[in-house]
Amino acid sequence: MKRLSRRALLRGAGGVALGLPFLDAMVRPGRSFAQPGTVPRRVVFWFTSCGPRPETWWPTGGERDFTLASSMAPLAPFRDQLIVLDGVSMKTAIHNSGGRNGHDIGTGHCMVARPIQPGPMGFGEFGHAWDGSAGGISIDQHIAASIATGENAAPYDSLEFGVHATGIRQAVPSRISYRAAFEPVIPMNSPAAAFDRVFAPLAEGEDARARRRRRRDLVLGAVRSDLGRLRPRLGTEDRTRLDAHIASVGEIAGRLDGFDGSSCEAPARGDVEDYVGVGELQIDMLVAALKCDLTRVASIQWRNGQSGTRHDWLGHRDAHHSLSHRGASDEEARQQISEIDRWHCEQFARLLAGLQAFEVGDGTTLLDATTVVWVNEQEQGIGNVHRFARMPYVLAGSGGGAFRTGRFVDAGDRGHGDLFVSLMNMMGVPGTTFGDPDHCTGPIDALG
Amino acid sequence: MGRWTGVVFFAAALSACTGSIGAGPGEIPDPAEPDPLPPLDCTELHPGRAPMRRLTVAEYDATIEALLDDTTRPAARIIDDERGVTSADARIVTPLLAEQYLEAAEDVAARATPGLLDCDVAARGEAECAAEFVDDFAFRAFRRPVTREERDTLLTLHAAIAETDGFADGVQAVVEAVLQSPGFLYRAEIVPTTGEPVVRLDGWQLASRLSYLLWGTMPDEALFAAAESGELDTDAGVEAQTRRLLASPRALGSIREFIGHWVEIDQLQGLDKDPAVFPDYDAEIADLMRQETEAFIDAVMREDGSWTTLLTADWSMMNARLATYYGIDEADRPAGDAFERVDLDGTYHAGLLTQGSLMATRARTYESSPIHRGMFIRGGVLCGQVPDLPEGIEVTAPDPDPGLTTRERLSEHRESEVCASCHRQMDPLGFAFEHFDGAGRFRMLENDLPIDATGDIVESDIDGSFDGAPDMARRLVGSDDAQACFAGRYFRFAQGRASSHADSCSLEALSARFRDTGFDVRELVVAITQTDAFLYRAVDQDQFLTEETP
Repeated sequence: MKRLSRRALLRGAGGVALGLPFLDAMVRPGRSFAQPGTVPRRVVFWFTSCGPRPETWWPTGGERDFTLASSMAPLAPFRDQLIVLDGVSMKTAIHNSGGRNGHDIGTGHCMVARPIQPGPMGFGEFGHAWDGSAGGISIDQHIAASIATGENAAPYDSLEFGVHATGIRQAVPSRISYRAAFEPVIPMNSPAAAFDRVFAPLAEGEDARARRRRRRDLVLGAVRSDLGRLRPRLGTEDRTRLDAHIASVGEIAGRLDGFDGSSCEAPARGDVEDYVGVGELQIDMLVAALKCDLTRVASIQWRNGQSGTRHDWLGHRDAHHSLSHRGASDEEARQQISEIDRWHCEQFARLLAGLQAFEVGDGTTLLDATTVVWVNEQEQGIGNVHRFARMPYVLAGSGGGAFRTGRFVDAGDRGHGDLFVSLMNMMGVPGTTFGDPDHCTGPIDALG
Repeated sequence: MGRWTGVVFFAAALSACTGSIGAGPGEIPDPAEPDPLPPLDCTELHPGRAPMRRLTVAEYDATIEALLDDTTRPAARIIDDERGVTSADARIVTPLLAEQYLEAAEDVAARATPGLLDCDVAARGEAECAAEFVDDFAFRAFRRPVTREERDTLLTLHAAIAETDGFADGVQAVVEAVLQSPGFLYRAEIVPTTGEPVVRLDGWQLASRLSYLLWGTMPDEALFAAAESGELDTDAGVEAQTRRLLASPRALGSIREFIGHWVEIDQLQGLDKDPAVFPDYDAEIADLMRQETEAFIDAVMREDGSWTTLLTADWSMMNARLATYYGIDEADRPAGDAFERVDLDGTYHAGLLTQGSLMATRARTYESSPIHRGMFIRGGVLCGQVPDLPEGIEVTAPDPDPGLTTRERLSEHRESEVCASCHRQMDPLGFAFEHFDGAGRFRMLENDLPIDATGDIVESDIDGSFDGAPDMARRLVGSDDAQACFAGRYFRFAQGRASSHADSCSLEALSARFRDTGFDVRELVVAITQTDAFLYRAVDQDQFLTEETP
């Protein structure tokens, strides 16, 4: 267990898990980082569904002299940090989807790029694989697992935030992040609960924290004894599931050991339920978590595939998904999809502004050290179609100089697995393929 | 994973099917694939696969209530994302879920501990009191006798905490550990390896199976007593306990849950309708529709318990607001918020099938959807298969046309040979429900045009013509396929897994008993508890790993 080794190291050094030897090794939270070259890179995945309206989404003009279209107007202040990425399709969703519902396929493939696997109950009405799964590990979890080891690792391998991402049951169209097939990573949907989980422990006094840590260590130690005794008595399948449970308990047991959160500037704790309010709080917490270096990999999931969000603050009476299934000639639906796209861009800008406001040294900002990737589950949100060809990817932040931003890039008929290889490599994760290897050809050089 | 087996039914032909495809009609896959496996010898035991089951959120909360008299539903508060998860093995414990279990355990333990300190520590000593507490509490929480190792672990934990923080904190820590232990969170059925390939579950394991199936919670004192006395070692003893549990109103909850899964009642949650078309529909109506179906199921189970009644009743359960929404005559409407029986016109209404919970969910936001309604009948009721939508078909829904009925606008499905080959299995079954609009309300006209609810059932064991939902429902309840479908679905719900070839003896026995009892759902539950799958366990579970679907 990586956490154990870290704790063991600490104990070896000082006997008590105070974490002092690590303050130097770890990036001090809440401070500017000393040298630009050593700033750890971050990656953030931003998910919305149902696709944009293409004519108000895609820029016009050339690679450098492009003009943002009206939906992306809120991103104008960040034009130089953007890559609007054209020419990338979800080839796996098109050629080997494994699914039978357009939103199962779009959502299940958007970060996994492998065929959907139906669950015990097969395909239900509307072709949903209700208890099925995306076909493997998602790109965020692959990166998170790959960089989780080492003494400079952040306390959380990854953090997942949701905005009403509770979904249509716990099904394929509700989940984007997976540790493996049938191992979805559920986002934190309550800002208050997310705060209590991530930031509250940092604010505890040293004594209270030590006491609680000792108690939890003993309790979880007993739990692990029981789990360990059960394991050899199970069949292969059950044992696999129990192994995941054992790993999870091991991971939470020593999570904050050696981490000094005293200078971490926690965001406000908010307990709201409305979509707009939850979204703002989740963005702010995600930014704070990156600033404090609590994690290097994060995601924020807005609702789920086939979003049932009714944007009534924009004056809409139909839910997003319903709008996207109106006929192609429905002018009201087209207009309202544009309004939703623009509103999403405003939220995206809030995230970028938060990252840009934090200087990490040498005139560079946290946004420069990060790449935020906007993934969608559909190519377009008008005209009652499910398509995965011209996917509306947007990247923001150069990922520590890995990507040349300020461009409208045509990747030239590439699969989204290729995009994910580029992101892996940016994060220092080696490899030339991700997802279904039949539809992946390596990194997209045009990004660099 | 990806080794699911069993009944995989029908595809999603989501919308109207237009255009042409490259492949000829002959290349549309044939759904009726012969079963290549030889029949089982039903004189031998065939329990099938038995995955370890983790408590659902509802089971967790009910168990906490039974164990500690704590009605705060901690899991529903803390682990809300798992609501609705029922398959035994569809989910794993991620770090987030492990943290939520930790939080729930700390939350429950803090509340419970003051009530768990009745042992006189001063007189009897900490060690004796701790041992007594662990023996009793862990036994009930694990629903079986505690092993020596488990006991030692918990007592060591208690001593370590008590030494610095006192006896009570030690008890609290033990509660926290127990509630996160696999003995509490899972139902892992460990059986002795005697050399026999199949063994009968012991009384404690059967007590848990019965209790979670019928009551959704841990065994009560009588069931524990039956486990300890050996009563559950006989089939008759299991049946007696099943009937005792079934007689309680608590058993209604689990029958309701099964039927709710069957009709996918969750689809009502957040169900969206176009307010311009259905101005009277709102989220409260959707919730009342759910309550209608649940009250209806309860009422049927209190009366004849009959599956036939579920599908054909000419009455339902409504309160004043829902009855008003449905347009029930004022004289026949219930007066208040309580759900009461309302008699309906048997020419149009057919039990569950025509209730708002089914009609509004099998519809578009702006109109009914005969395709989806037909697919529910074909797949949900008959367990039939509809082939995948052939590749290369451009699917677009026909735009609404105020001059046509929904049925007329789907005419292309009949005119195009490619479309008709599949849609004739679905659309006509859905036309039976055209007297119910997209938001679940009865109608005599659509766009001022008369409703045509006639159709033909084809490619089934009940082929023939019908006029309206009740007429079709009368055919459905006479279908061997529909009867076996319902029994098989309940079996899978009870076992928390798909069925496979290994279950064919269990399923045959179930269908026979269902028929012999006049399709009494309560008797079907009794029959499930008498199957090999329920009473026995294959020692080597890895043998089922080879059962892969291609």
